Amino acid sequence: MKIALLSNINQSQLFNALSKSHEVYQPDGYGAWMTELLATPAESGLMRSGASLAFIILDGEELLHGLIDFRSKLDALDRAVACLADCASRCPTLGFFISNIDIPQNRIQPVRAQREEYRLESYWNDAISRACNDYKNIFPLDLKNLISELGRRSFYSEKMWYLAGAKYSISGSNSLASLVTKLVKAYIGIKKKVIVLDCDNTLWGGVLGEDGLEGIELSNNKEGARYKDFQRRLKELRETGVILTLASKNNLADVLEALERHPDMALRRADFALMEVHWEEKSDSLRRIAKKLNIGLDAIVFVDDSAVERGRVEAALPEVAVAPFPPDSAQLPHLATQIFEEHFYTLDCTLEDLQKTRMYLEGAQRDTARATAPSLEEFLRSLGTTIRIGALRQSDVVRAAQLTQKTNQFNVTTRRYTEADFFHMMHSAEKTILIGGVSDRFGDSGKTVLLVLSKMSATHFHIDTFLMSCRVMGRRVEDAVIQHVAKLLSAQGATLLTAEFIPSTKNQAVDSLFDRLGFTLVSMDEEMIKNYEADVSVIAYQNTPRFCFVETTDD
Amino acid sequence: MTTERLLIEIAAEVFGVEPTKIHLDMPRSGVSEWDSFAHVALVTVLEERTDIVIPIEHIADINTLRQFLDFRRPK
Repeated sequence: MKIALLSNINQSQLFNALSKSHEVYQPDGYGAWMTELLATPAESGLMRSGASLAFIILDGEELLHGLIDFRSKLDALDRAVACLADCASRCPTLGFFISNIDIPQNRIQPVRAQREEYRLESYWNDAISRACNDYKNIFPLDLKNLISELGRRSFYSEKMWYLAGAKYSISGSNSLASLVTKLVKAYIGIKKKVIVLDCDNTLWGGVLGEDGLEGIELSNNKEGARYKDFQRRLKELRETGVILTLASKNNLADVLEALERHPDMALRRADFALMEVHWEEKSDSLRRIAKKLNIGLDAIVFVDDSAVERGRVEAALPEVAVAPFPPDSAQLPHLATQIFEEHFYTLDCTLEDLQKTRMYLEGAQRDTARATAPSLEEFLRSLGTTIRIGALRQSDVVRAAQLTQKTNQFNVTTRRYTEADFFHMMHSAEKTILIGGVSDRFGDSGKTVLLVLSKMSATHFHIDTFLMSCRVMGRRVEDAVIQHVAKLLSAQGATLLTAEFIPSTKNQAVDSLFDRLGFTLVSMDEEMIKNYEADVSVIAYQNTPRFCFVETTDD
Repeated sequence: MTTERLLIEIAAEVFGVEPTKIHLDMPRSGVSEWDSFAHVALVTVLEERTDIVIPIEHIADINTLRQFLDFRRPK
């Protein structure tokens, strides 16, 4: 993904550091940032560069350089925000990360004199917050937090500034490059799914089996609080959609008792989707967790205080990300933040993210029902599955993009789209996007079905994308969805429906989906890409057993 | 690690080359990567990571890497 870097100061080191792993566009000359944003598409280097994401890094002091009175400083900030918001609204397919500002308190003044730097920073931050709310393609970049963490002494370099016109030290620029890289990953949606946690000396101090419930270190105040704070961070992590699991060499009954009865436990049984608590090898636990959750080992982060256990997992399962464990356990709460930024960084939270764990537990109940039902048909009929599907709305765009980025198994073409792509497609007469949710007697899956249809002519439609979250597989939802789509298209006068299957390393499950749904295979090329076609009315009215009821969400 | 060793590593990092290509006596004019930005970068990173401190007035006089060693802070 090509990114653009705009700034009102020299960012040579940031540019160099980012160029090692990204394609970066930078306008010629510093101070050109505003011109680039205000320029027309024909003249703007930014718009012609092909960048998908623009990082606007602004230095507070330089933004207000030469201005004396407070009012004119506020005006300068207003002008800058207006310029950014205007550009963002004219380029809805471009993402903008806008930094908050840091204004070092250099001016000498008496202690009681009011400091205007804080007021100016707040004024800017409020304006950027409003812009993030008003525009879906504007995001905040917390530069001030980065500078605070590193300290101004380390982040800024006087020699760099006076000699090279560059404000940040080399290490400051490098840490900013690191943040930008994490934000790009978060924008694309690259992140892991599960964290596997040890218990003893990880979630609490001491060994539960030896110290007992009263003897473990876990409390609201003083030393035991470091573990409670770590648990609090993990709970927040879960609320962003990360699945928490346990892998601990302990007696299950002891751990369950601790989770239920310890007064200072911030995490409880319901916070964990799976618990592998026994005396077997942790790498086997990890393999089982991956299998049960239907994810790759590369979607897992492993946290354990024991260097021996970490070493074993690293050797046995190289795809698993093993988190470094701080030698000083007072740093544990910071570890949670580091892990979040490194592996689970996310820009927004969808409803589905918040409910991941609950949905996993409902899925487990559904699996039990399937295993104990007299036949598959009996099981499917007993579910009472209802699919609610309709045209994509603005409020669904974040979820739709997430689905295209993360769905690998039930995905016939594996086309990845960003929120900006969906925004574009929603406004195109040639594209129809449908999104749907599935519910049954065990619970609601949230929005888990997505179709993108391309109108090839008045009578010919093509399925560009058809995907479903793996948790709704195995209930014949796809049959009902395709039949519903065919009925919709038939009502619009379509007669021909074509589709493709593009094989990937992960979608073998849907290799013959279209064959099973009644499409005819037209051709297959050397790369095993299959082309299908079908008569719309045949698909719409075919007489196959129906297990799902379909409702439209359009009014 | 000795200051010399650190100096070679830091120069390699700043110039983006292998440490084996760094020689303490090579003149600045003979190294294409040693432009004015790299020069300031060398100064600031050395000050951050070693016992070297260079007053701003002397920076322009430095022509070889070995000259940086003259600015080691006395113990």
